[in-house]
Amino acid sequence: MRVRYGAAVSLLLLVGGCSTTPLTQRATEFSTAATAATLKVQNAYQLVNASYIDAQMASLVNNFDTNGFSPSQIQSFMPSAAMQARTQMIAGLQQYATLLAEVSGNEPVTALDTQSEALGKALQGLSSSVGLSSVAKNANTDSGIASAAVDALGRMLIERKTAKELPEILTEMQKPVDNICQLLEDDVGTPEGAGLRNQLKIDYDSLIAEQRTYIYANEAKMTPDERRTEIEKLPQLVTTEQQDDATLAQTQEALKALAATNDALATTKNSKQAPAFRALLAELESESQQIASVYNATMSK
Amino acid sequence: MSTAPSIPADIPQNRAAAQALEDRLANANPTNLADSQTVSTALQAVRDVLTQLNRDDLLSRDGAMQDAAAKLKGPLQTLSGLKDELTGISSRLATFAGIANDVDKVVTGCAKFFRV
Repeated sequence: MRVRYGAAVSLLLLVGGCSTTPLTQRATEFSTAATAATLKVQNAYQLVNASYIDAQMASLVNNFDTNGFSPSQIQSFMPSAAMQARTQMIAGLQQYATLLAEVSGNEPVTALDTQSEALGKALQGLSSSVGLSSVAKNANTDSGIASAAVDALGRMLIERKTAKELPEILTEMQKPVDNICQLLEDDVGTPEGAGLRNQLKIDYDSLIAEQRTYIYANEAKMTPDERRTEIEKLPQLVTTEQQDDATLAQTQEALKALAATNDALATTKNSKQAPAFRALLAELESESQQIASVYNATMSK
Repeated sequence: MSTAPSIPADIPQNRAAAQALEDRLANANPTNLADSQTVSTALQAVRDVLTQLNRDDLLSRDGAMQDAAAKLKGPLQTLSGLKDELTGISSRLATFAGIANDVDKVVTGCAKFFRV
């Protein structure tokens, strides 16, 4: 009995081994890492929206006596159309990663079909929308390139793919994934230039100035301990700004790593060993893990 | 088919001027309430200008410029109104020397560009 059971297990392993080629194995690993990375990219926008609202709150507190409060004073930094365009692109990248895992699993992708198709259509709609032209403009990228990238990603998600088409999928998606990652990477920007990192910098500069004004305006009524607590918030704001900016910079690195790893995966179609891909995959996993821990800490503040 | 307005060449200069003013205000270290309030208010106004430029990067050309212009009117007026006070602070804060000139660059540059 034991011998028969062992033989059955061996047969199963053999069958399983036949269906898992080095490429499908790598695609599955990439899928896991890419999904983790893209989930974190969305947090970059939330982080800056939070600092933008914090700065509005600080100004509201200091100017309440003269300006009062109107709900219209509190707004999100990201216009909703611009945010929606980014959310869809990030979801498209996630779905692409899931598609690779499903296709690599050698299973019918029916469960994924409905979701993929809906998102694919949304992306194709986005490729010709105002929202996308805004993303492209922000990234100084030709809007035609952005549109083609998003359209290609949408098309890929709509089409039914099977495992044998994996090499073709990887080749087709190399450029669109590169371009979408570049668009999102440029969105993050630089502290002294434009984009999310610049917005974070000017929000914190305002927060610090408002905190200083708050201290001067109220110090006469504060106990020494209260005054100490308020003064201590100034260096804390500086530290938080530095940490948040580092997180945004790391998000850019993760997007770079995601595009590079996807490129490397596409070039290893016929390789058994793929050391360059392995190195990039490790980098992508590491970037994603680091961002995850920082975002978790930041968002739970 | 709508034609997008041509991209004005002076966006980078306006952004650079606004960023330079923002840096100076952020690095000021006022030591009394009146100066701190003036710096906070000026910083808030120049932040509004830079935020609008950042948003403009995120928005499409269509409609965005009119929206930006409407939202910039207030901050630019605030900055103009604070010019004398900021100049007054410059006698106490060495880093503020010539600040009126920097305010003018932002206000006139953005006002010309956004037609406000």
